[in-house]
Amino acid sequence: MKNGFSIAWKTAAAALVSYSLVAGFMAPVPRLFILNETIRNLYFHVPMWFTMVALMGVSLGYSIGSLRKPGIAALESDRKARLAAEVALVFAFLGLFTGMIWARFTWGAYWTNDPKLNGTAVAILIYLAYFVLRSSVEDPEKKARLASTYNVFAFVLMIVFIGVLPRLTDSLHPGNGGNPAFGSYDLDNGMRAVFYPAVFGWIGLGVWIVELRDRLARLSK
Amino acid sequence: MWALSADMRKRTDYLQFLLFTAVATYLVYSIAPAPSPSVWLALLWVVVLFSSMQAAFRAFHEPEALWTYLNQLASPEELFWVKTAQIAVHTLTTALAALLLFGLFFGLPEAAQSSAAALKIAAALGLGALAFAATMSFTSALASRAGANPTLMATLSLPLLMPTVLVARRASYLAAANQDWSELAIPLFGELAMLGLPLALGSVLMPYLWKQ
Repeated sequence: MKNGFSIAWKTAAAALVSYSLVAGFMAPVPRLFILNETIRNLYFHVPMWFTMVALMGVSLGYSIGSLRKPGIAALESDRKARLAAEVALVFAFLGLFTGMIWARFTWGAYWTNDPKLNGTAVAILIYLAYFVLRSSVEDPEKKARLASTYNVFAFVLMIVFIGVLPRLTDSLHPGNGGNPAFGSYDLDNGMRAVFYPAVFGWIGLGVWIVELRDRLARLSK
Repeated sequence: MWALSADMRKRTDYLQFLLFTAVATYLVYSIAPAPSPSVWLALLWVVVLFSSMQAAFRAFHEPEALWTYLNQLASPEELFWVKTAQIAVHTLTTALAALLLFGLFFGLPEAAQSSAAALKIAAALGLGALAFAATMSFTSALASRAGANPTLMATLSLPLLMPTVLVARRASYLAAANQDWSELAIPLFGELAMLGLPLALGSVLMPYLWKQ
């Protein structure tokens, strides 16, 4: 039963990502001033962020688990938290690069002093600091405990930073600083039919990568 | 309370932090003697941030024997609160000293020449400094547990302090423009939230962090 469910969601994730890749480039999109064809980047750029936050949430869950469990179980939870954070960081960089390319064509620069961009940079720095912390402690149990406490502390502040603060200040991003969200004007039903599958597909793919890396880590021990 | 009053007696520490703040302010003055109001604020926050970090690192940098003794006297949560109070006193003193020194060397920004405006800047700066103390208290404890490395403390703290810096910069920018208290209320409330959130998280996580 468990095996069947596992195969089902992985197949669904692979199918959704494949569909979003094909439809993302081929399906019709609204003709919008300045955005033009770059609006297709919505199918690639935004799902990267959703996946990053989802995987950081997974990492947070395992870190909380690591703090609550004793002995070996704590170490195993911590290992999963680390792997989820690593994959989240990859998606963060993918989101950053796709965003920079989009910004170049719509705002005229690869980087602007936008709160959302600053938030992204800080989220990446926070998780790089998490890995620096891990590498500076030798004892595995101590490493697990310190890294888990930092992960919990950092995740909450990061969510405030990337989720709450941009909405209170001026931003070039849709849905922030009083700008209308994408859904209000630009995202028609045709785009929704590609965008939401892309989000769920990439999140599924991200979780699958974490699972594969965990199996690899267990095998290599 | 014993640790707090013992810390209050370390006058050389206070003088050291104040001297660091004065030297940093003078250095900034030598490089940019006539900054625009926004640069004035940015420089002020940079000086306060780095001076506060010095104070925060030292708060949890105690000999192992003293920790063993303190751990018998107080719970991890109590230690966290006492050390946060200690860091808060340091950061507040440093921030107000930096404001005085900036006023002395650069003068206040043009729109903030009145005492009411100076009070608003002091309020924004003070609350920001307290919020710094709350976050840095936790990262200092973490760095202390990881081997008391000042570089690690800075690496862990700076990204986490960014939300506080941005909210505090907004509050102090409005204060420097002598905006009404009603305009200042939201960013000041934001600073208060950035003070409360790390305090709450730190109190919950400290027992796990401090476990031997």
